[in-house]
Amino acid sequence: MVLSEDDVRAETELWSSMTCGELIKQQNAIVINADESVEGACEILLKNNILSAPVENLEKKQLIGVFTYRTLVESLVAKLPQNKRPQELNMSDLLHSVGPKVPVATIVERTFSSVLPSDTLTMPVRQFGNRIHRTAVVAEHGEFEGMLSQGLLLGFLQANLPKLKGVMSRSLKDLGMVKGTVLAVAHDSLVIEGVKLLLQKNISSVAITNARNAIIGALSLSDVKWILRKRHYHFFWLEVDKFLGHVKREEAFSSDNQARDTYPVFTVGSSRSLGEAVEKLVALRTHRLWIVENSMSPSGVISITDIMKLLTPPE
Amino acid sequence: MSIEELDKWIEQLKRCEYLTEAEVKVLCNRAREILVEESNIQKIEAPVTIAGDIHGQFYDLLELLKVGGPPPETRYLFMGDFVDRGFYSVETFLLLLAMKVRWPDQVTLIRGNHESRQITQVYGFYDECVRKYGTVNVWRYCTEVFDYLSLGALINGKVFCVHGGLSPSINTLDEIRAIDRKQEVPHDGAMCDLMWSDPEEVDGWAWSPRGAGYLFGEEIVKRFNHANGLELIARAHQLVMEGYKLMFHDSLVTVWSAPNYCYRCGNVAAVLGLDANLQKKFTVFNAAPQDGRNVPSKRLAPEYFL
Repeated sequence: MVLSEDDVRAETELWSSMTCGELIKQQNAIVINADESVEGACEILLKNNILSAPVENLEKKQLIGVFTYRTLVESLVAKLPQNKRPQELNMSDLLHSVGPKVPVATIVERTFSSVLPSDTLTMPVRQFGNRIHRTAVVAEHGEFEGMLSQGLLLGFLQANLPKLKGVMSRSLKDLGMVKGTVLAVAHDSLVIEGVKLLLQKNISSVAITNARNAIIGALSLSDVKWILRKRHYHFFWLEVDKFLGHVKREEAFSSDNQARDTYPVFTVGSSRSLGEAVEKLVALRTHRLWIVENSMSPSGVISITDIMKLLTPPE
Repeated sequence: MSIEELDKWIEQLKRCEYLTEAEVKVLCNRAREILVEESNIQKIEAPVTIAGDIHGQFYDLLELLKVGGPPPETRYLFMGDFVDRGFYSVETFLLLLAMKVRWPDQVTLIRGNHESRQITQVYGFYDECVRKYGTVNVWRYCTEVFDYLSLGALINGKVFCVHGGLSPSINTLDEIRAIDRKQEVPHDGAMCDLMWSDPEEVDGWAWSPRGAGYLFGEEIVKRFNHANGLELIARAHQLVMEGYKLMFHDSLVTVWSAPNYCYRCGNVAAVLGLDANLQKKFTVFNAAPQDGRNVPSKRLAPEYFL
């Protein structure tokens, strides 16, 4: 759905009220040195519970690229056979390409979106609505100031919700977010099949459905961190529903989750408002919510990308 | 199923030996007959000893019974989450169920968020049943029992006990009594919230980071207690390192009864004893000692070594 200028007037004003440079000042930037190994870079993401980090030539204060789970998974998965667990596979050969001796600079995404520190937030909102997940804030002379992620921008939106009464009170159904179906993998398909689907479709998460087409969980690219962290590479050939169990059981003990077990899938009802969806995304620290009714049959998904697209001021 | 047979089963379960599938079926059928007669909010008369999450930590449950005293001499309320996470969910639940059937007025079991088909398929109980019995039948029998568990308990009309916490859809105990509880825990709504919510230093209500239920603040508890003539809400659901935690000027307490949770957290556990005058006494206990128990061999998934 494309909203009119009037519909998003308050949001447009909000985006114009702050610059990119100001917004990123509020965060503690985690940066990966270009000399770091791939394994070390992975450890940095895991330890800080983040999905990506800029790779910088620290001497020149220059951004080389961005290291994400997608990058890592692409390198690794391309070399793995799909259906059967390899009996004779020499894992150390495979991992040689992404292991301790490989500098991260060789596998990072070198093309990346950027904004100027003086740009208002309208710029990244537009980029994020175009499925970009993060943008680099780079000054005119090339000095890298920090990364501005979808999550950071959503947090800013959430903090300003009391000011935004119009479109934020409209229901997800009303805003056209209920499509009828979502892209899904069957509960007994293998993790590697799901991961390859994510890479192929250039998406970060896919629903996992059971035999009755109810959503029981989701497989995300970032879940691969649980395979890498403990070197449980055989998990690539595990059924996705069993893998979901491993992920959920471990997640409770990561960062500040305080050993709290979470619901297997993060959902929102179609009659909930956009504002409620924003609040829930921030509370769950997630990038998407699956839209369900009582039957748990998924009828749509609302992601940060969708929200940014809705709230992009018309040109 | 006679009393002698039930006593025999209890002795067997106390040795951490699970029952046969046929015996589980009989036990579960009998348990359902008892539970179907109980209310959504089961009335209990103090004195009573209140326990929180057990999560399949069987040997720690034996520790708890040692520390609190055996039933029926000690009256017990277990506030849910008997299964998942620990290695002995089967033995733990069957022992609690057998004690319930043997002494129905002295043992009360209420439902936790893990007493659910969906949750047990993710957090371990389903896998354990299939591993120990070779079929899904025992899991099915147990999850059918879960549907009959009460949602809460009320002690001397003054202490309300529930696994998780409060719901924005519920203002009175009568509204809880009106729920049709005999179903799988829904993914949202009042019944879900009672099993999933957590108290928190927030104003009013907030989305829970668990993805079900809500966070609720002190004002909410004050208002609920006042409206329902309560002195205290006792609940479980959240790990507390010290075993128990009073909050909101002692209007709410969390009781956690799984020491060294998941065999890694290093916490102590507790039970809350209420005497006939509802005076509180917390008893803290540690994990059962390692010697003399069947520590299952660590199921290391085969790993590739670099």
